[in-house]
Amino acid sequence: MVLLYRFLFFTMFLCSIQTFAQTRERLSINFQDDSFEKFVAEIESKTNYRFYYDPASTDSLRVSISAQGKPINTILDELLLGTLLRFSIDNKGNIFITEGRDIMVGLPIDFFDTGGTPSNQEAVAFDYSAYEKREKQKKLVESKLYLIGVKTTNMQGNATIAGHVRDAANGEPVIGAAVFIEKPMVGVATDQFGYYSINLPKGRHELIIKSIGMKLTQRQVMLYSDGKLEIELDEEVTPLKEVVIQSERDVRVTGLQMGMEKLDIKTMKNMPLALGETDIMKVVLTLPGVQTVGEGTVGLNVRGGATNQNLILFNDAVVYNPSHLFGFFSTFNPDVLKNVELYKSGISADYGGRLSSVLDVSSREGNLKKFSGSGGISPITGRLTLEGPLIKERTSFLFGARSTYSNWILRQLNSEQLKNSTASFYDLNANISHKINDKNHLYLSGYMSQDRFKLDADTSFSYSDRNASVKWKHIFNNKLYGVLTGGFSRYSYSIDSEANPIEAFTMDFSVQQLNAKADFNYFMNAKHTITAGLSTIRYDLSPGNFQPLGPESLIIPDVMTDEQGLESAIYIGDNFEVSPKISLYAGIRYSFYQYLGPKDVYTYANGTAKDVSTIQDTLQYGSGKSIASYHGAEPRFSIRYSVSNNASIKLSYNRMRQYIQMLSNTTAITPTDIWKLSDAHIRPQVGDQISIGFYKMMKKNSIDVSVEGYYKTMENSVDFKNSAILLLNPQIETDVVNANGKAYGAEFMIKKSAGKVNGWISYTYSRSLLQAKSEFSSETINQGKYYPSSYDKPHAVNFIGNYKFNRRFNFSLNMTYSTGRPITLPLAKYELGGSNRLYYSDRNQFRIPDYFRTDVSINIEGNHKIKKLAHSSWTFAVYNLTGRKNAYSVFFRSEEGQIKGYQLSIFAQPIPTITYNFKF
Amino acid sequence: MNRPMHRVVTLVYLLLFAMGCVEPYETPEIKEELNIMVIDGFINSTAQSASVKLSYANPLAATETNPFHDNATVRIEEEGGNSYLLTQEYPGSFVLINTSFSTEMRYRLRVQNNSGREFVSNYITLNKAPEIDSITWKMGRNGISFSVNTHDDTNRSKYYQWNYVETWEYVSSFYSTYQIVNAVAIPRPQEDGIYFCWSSSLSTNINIGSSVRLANDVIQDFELTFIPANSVKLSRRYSILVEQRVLTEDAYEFWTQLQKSSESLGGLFDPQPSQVLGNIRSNNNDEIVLGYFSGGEVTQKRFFISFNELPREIRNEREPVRCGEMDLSALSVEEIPTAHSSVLLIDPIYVQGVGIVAFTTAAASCIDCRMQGGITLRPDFW
Repeated sequence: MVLLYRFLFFTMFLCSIQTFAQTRERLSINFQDDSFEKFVAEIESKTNYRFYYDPASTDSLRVSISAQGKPINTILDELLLGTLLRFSIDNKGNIFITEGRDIMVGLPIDFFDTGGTPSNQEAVAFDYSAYEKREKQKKLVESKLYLIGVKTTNMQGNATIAGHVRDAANGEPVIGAAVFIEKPMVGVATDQFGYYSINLPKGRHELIIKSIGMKLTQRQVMLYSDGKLEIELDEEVTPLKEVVIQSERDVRVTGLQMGMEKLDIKTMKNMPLALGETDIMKVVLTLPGVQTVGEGTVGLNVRGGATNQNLILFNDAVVYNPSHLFGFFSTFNPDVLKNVELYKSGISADYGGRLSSVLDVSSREGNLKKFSGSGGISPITGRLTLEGPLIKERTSFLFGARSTYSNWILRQLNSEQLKNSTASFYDLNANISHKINDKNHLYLSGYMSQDRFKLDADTSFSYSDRNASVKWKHIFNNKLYGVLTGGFSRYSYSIDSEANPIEAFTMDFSVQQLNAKADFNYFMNAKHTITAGLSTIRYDLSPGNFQPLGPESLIIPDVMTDEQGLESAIYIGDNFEVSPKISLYAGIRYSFYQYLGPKDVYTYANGTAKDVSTIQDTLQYGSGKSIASYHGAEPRFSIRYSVSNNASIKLSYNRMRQYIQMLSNTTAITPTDIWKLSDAHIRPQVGDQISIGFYKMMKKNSIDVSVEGYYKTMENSVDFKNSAILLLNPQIETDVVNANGKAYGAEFMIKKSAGKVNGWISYTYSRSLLQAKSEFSSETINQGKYYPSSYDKPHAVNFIGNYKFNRRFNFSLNMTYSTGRPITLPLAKYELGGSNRLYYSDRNQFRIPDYFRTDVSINIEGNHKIKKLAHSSWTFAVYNLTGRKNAYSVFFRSEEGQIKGYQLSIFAQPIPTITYNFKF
Repeated sequence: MNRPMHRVVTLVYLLLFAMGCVEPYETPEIKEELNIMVIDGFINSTAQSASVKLSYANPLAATETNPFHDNATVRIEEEGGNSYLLTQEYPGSFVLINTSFSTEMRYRLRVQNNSGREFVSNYITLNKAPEIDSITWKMGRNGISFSVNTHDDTNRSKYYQWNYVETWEYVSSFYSTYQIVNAVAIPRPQEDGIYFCWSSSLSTNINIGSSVRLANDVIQDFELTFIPANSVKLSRRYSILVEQRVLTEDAYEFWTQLQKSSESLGGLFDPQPSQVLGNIRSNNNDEIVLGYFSGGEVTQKRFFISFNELPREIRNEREPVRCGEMDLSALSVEEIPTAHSSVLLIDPIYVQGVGIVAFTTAAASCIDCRMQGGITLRPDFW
């Protein structure tokens, strides 16, 4: 095979300089289900054509064709239609049959043309079918010279080239691709729409385009004035013996952004995970600076922040509860995802509303070129995704569904109560992407997840998260584009209980937001890119609706009055390339917030702790009246200084404000936690973070090393009095304590992103401390001293390694270590009410044992035969290979008058899983 | 409300526990010196008495409780009026009897110890308690549960607490008809029988319930205890005496917190445990005092159930009482004078024409029901 290729290349060069002058013979043939060999033998005997092909790739081809006086290329067109085989004919009458790609047998016709004619019509070398013509073009475009703009003789100054980078296979935008020239080094990255705009000196350039998982490509451009250049990239299918250059690698050093991690779905799919599901939330947990209170819980704690301080966006719509089954799975279906970006620091001014981080999850756009599907089966779920064009090359759809059949697992478990219980969940995704014209693009995205549980057939609990967004992108000109986004998000849960007929009830909670925003991107010149925009969010909360259920119920209905809020913001930011060595970003966001009526608000006596007994007055506010308002500036700043070609130092500062919080006085997020808007008593949270980092590329850019340190403070985070009642509490402010937090740490990471062996290792030192201090003892925790938060885990080490044996086998190893999380332990026991009781220490003064886990997985791709119904892969994984009994929680119980301490480990033994994935 | 809500969390735990694995946890050694006073006081206005228990908190690892050894004076003070001194029954236990308390008045507790420390409670009011409507039982999974029902037509009670005493009759495996007295085997008189026993135990859980979210002040089917089908408690006849108290909102909250911090499963989905402080303060502000002082009327109701009344499924679960070696052996009459004092006789063995030649015997635990913890004195109410 390799020999054949060598021969082909040799032939190609021999022939390439000659001019094109092939006279065509016309043939008359007739084959019925014959082999390709027979076909070749007959043609070669009748004509002067000589065939060159790999028998292995043609052995499955059956020839059934009859032709009267047709040229050879028409016959081959017909024969090879619908297969991946290509043919090329050179002017000597040699016919090359190749698999997947075709041979260029001549130079493009404008190869020697240095730009006399505007070459916007494509060079046609041969009379190929439309499909092959496009294949041909791919080869041609790289060497062809594109004339950009109106031809002039004035070659002074700069001009802008803008356009989209797309995946040639399906037309989806390629996000984060680097578009640059090397001399001088000027580069930009494509945005979430695959859009780029680069300002270059007029004249001739070689534009290089790189992106993870895509083939490197270049375009020869002659830049006269502002113009457009659309670029398509080929997917990297065989990274076996080619030099892979990935854009993200140098972005870490040359980019301005710090504290950002980006994962694409391919990386995530290789990682071994519990229960056979690729779960982005669990993958994110392997990144430095991200912690959780326990495996199988929902929340992320990013750099010492609380779980509610993360802005989780799915296609620009806020997700309030991204978990299924109380946290064992995330609600993001891996088949529809494209990538995930986590911003831990240096958050730019276009994001706001949460203190700690932004987790930006984007789904793919549907395939613009052909209908396809994928899916998978794991022990817990089944999933199916369909996608394809609605209008070819213009409109595509993507639809994904996932559901569980986990009830059978409940039946297996050794608990009578669980056997009478049911659990189910599903999630749906639907996307439509429509290109109105070159300047306008419309994106629609919808998402829904639902969980339902029934315990003992008398208590049921369900929760649901749903959102939708509409985005309209309009390109004003090469330098300016804008995006108008409208979104809707809603999270709700409901509990019904009929365990006791007279106490039977139903309770509902919901939080909902409607938001609109406009963002503008202005590529002013080579040095400045301005982003600006405004946004507004309307919140509507229904904090609890408690109603009797059934005729016997004596429950008194209890309806908490709804809460409303309006959060608006305006921002502007500038990316300023000061010099090749220094670039900086300065931005400011100003947010305004109003807590709106109708609502009754309690006022409390001055100089006393807020308590039901100190209520002084009740103020009534009418509909739409502003009850409390807050506003403030949120400055954002980053700077990068390149120490050398492959090393840089970055510094960033950002301030964030948060007007909605989750109230939870448990360690982990529970299903019944509620969200609460800032109001007259509960002030918005404000967070500041300063971070500094050093980044270096080593070993020919194959290894990158980074160190980041940060210090952050959080004001007005909510903590709770010891006996807090959060649900159905009309005076919730009396149970809330204002806490201030501080967090600091350092993250070290070594990452190798290319080659047969790739992966990363990271070590994080971090602390997260809280302080609740007040003149009133009831509002003070631990005597007003700083105490560790429940997710304060000072030391954490993560190792992720992949070894690619060959195209089909991939082995992954994942190791995680962290210090045990803080807990409050009993110090003493005493007798009261006939039994032993516990006297507890100050909050969070002890720790559970350290956590350590090893997972492995093997991915096996099916064979790469072309003629198959579906392409499939198998994943075999073992979670917690060593079976270490990691403590999930420690608890104490008074049993028959004795105090007993226990530790609970979930996943206390190795858990093997098999997952089957398919694509068609 | 809170209970069904908690069931959602229970579901999560059931899942976790079923999947996971629970092991004993070694508590880290706590170096701190603890000297914390615990005061548990209650005025029973129905019985016209009061009792106060003083004790100390013990380290978790301690196997024996530290007895109360200090001298102390314990008083109950009426707001703007009388003061009653309690007398010490035994170390740490103080009582007051034949004193009438009024539900119109407020009372507080004052404890002084000989090291000059003083502990004073908040003033409390005494609550009226409605009668218990009924005690009911129903069959659950492999056992039966007992529940209490009550209501207050005046809608003033709202917060309830129940304590109970369980008493049950059981028998040993073998009925002893003879006993050895002065080295001679003589027929065992009925009053010395060691076949029938009665055992009792007090409630150890915190049983509190509230009707505050209901339109009427009604408690229906509040489950107090669950007895597995094969329990000795159900082997013959079982009785439960339920005492009902009405709590103030403050007291209810105290017991709720105490319950949460010591009886719930604990863990990630429960509120973080914390120090639960009651209504008693020390004159030294920094010093922590544990416990609670409360009072009010106490109403009670007793309920009986016999083995024969139990559903067939439960009766079928019955297992013979285990008493170690069940083997019978024989003891000849000649051996009786030299037999160890602990040897118990079951039945005589007759030989035609000769008379009693020997006695059957077995392990004492199979003959003497008291070895299982009960007493042979039939309770008055039985």
